[in-house]
Amino acid sequence: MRTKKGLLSLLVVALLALSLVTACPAPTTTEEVEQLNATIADLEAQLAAANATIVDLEAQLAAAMGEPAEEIAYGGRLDVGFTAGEGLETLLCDSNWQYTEMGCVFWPLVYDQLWIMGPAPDYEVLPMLATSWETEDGITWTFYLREDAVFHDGVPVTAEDVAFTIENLPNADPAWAFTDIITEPGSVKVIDDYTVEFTLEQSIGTRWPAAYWAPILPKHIWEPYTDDMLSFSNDEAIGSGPYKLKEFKAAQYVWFEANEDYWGGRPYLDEVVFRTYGSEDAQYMALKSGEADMIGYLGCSAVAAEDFIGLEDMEVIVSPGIGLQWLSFNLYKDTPLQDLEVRKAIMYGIDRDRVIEMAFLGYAQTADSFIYPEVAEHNPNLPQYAYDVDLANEILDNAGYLDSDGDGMRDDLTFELLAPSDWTDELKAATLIKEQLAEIGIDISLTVLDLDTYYEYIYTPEEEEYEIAIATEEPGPHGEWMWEFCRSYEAGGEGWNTAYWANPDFDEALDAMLAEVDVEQRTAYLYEMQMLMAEDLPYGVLYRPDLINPVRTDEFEGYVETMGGISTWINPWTYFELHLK
Amino acid sequence: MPLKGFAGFATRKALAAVTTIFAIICLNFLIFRLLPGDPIRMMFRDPRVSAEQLQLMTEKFGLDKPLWGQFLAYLQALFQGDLGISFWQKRAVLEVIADRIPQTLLLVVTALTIAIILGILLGAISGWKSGTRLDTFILTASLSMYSIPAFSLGIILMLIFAFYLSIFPLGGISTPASGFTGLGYWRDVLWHMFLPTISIVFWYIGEYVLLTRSSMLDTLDQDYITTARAKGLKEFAILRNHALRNALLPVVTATGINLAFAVAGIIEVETVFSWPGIGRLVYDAVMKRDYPLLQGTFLVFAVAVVLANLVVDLIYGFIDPRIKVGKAE
Repeated sequence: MRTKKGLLSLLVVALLALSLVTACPAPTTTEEVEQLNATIADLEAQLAAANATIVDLEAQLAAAMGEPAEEIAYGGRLDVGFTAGEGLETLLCDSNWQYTEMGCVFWPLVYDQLWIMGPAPDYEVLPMLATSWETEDGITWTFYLREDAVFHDGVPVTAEDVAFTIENLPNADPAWAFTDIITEPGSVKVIDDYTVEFTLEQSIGTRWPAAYWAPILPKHIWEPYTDDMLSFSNDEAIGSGPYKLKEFKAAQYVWFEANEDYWGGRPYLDEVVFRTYGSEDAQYMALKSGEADMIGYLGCSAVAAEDFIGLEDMEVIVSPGIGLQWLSFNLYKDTPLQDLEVRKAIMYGIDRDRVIEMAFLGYAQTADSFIYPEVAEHNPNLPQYAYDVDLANEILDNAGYLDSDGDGMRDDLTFELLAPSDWTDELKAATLIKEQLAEIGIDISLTVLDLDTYYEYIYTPEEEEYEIAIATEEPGPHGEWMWEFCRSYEAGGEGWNTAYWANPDFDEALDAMLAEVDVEQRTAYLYEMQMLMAEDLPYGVLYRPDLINPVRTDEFEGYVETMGGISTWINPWTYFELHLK
Repeated sequence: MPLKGFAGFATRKALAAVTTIFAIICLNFLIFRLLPGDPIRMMFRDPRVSAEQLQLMTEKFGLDKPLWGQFLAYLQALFQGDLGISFWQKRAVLEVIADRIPQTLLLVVTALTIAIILGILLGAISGWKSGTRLDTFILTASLSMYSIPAFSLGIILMLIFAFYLSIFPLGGISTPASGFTGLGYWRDVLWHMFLPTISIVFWYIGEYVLLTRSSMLDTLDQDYITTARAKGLKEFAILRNHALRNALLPVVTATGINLAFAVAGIIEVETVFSWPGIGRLVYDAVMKRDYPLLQGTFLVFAVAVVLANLVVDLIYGFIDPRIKVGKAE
């Protein structure tokens, strides 16, 4: 009915516009056109107002006639399981907010952000604490705040709090060092109680506003601790978000209750409890027995998924993954990997479909870029490197990599493949890749390391500690930071560039993209960047494992799904939207 | 002049314990420096850390000094009760560990006490009644329990009693978000303690039964038992006053050694049952590669085991006067 009315209104506007155009002599000057446009806009506004009145009247009528309006019930307690290692041990404002599983699900419930990324499929930019914002160059930003937001202790949220957060969060820990919140010293200004302005060190374009995913902290609580934010224990976790902390027991549970005074109206659920389990098995048992309603992060394993399918009062939600996996080639080390032909042959030599089937039991999709195929900026014309042993062999033969001693392996093409011991599925994948590359005469030896040593090795390619590594990240739809993996060392890319890739064209396109305020032009740069990476192959993107979420449906409905499942760092929506049946 | 009697015995044992602890401290220091990789870089998962920041942290943790300098600094800090800062929790290691110790003690002391008393009792009965059906039953049951690893026993118990029968909870120390206080809370804790306690008891009891039984059998062959029988003493009096007392000596020794293995069992059981104790802390610290915390927990475990051994040794000297006299002369 809504759509019909919308269509009708459009038609009316169109007719009005048409009649105006025909009635008046054809507009000749720009002034006249502008005048006409203004009139049309005015008429449209009147129409919208009239429509709103109609809707309102209809609602009143429905209420008066006792027509059952669809109403969502409030109440219920959602129990969310986490395995112990993913848990939160303290409430300190540190990198655990970003790097532990429970941490990054925890704080979006307690703290509001200036704006929030909406759920799939649009991942729309939605206002939160800020109702609107302005920027011309993507460098200087002005945020206008809502006036009805209040912290859990009753103190109103003002521009002072936002300015305080923007200024101090990047210094909290190595945690919030993102370009969209690192400001020029002294540039953070409180214009009035509800307006704040700041200048970033570098442009971030205008596709997404600044200060993504940053929790707004109450200045009146945190101010004494700016020198060392870790010195504040944050026991009460006062924020302005839809949930309030009720009780925190390290290594046991985190208990939230609905914030009755939330500016956006209280959430449907009365309580959310994150509870830790010693093992995945215990977590699965809790889910089946009804002690837990859902898994808090990363869902369940592909093997366990089968157990949940077809159970009464349970549903298994399979979502496209947020984690991308790729091969990182060390281009600093003097090996044949520096030869593009070798990297191409490796990509053609990997049967990704088979790896997905064997290592991920089919729960994964192939990928070709740091941008997901369903995101608007994804370049659809990238080379695919579909599995082709003959082509791979031909490339290597033509490039002169021959097997002179007849042992089945080409001379010099012996590489070490690095993977961390924690990633069990990826290790299975690495073993398969090793076997597949043997088919084209490339001899892979698998080196398994503990996670931290692994990270240290791949992030220092110039130390020559690795040759090829299985790597993964979760860029998310707002994935600009991911491209820093490709910025050359010469252009300041030291750090994330695990491949030691250097391509001046890419650096140029990256800077241009970051400075670009026009969304279409920005997309063009992103297309170019993706193409450069796919052609030059510093990283060979392979696949993205799905997220499998078994959830209970006996009590609740309204699980919100995005890439990465129903509960991730980009998706607090389940906690906002879930409600009693 | 060497000290004689119990005082001398106790002093020698205490000195040995101190030496052992010092050796452990040295090992503990070295082990973590033999691992590959740069611990400072590992602290920053974010690779964009600058060279200055790295340098600053290296200095802060004293890693710019030569190895012996680091060792002296480590010792100095240790004597001031400073075990360093946990990479993962960003709090003092001592504080993190102290938070977990009461829960572990509650579980372990309860479980070991039950295991030891019950184990000795069953072992004594089994040895006394050797060859009977009761003996065969106790022996078989103990052997099977002894051979099941604590974690699989825990998971099996959990599956049966928590999942299928829903008599006990799936883990944790208390019902999350229950709001229980006072007596209600402690009842809840007892209910949560049941399965993990049983897992540890089952795991240990077998060993005590077997030890007591074989020691009992040895003792029963001794002449003084025959003499006691000849004197016409009642069976129970012989068991209590002559046999069991002597048979217990090797069991006491084993208790000290066993405590070292108890650590492994505690890590497993606490992890399976999500028990917020020091055992699970070790597991999490391993998963998080939190070296200062691991170093701290290792030290606490080592000191606990050495101290427990010391206590056992002293009790031993007390129960069996031959030991201290024999050594002192």
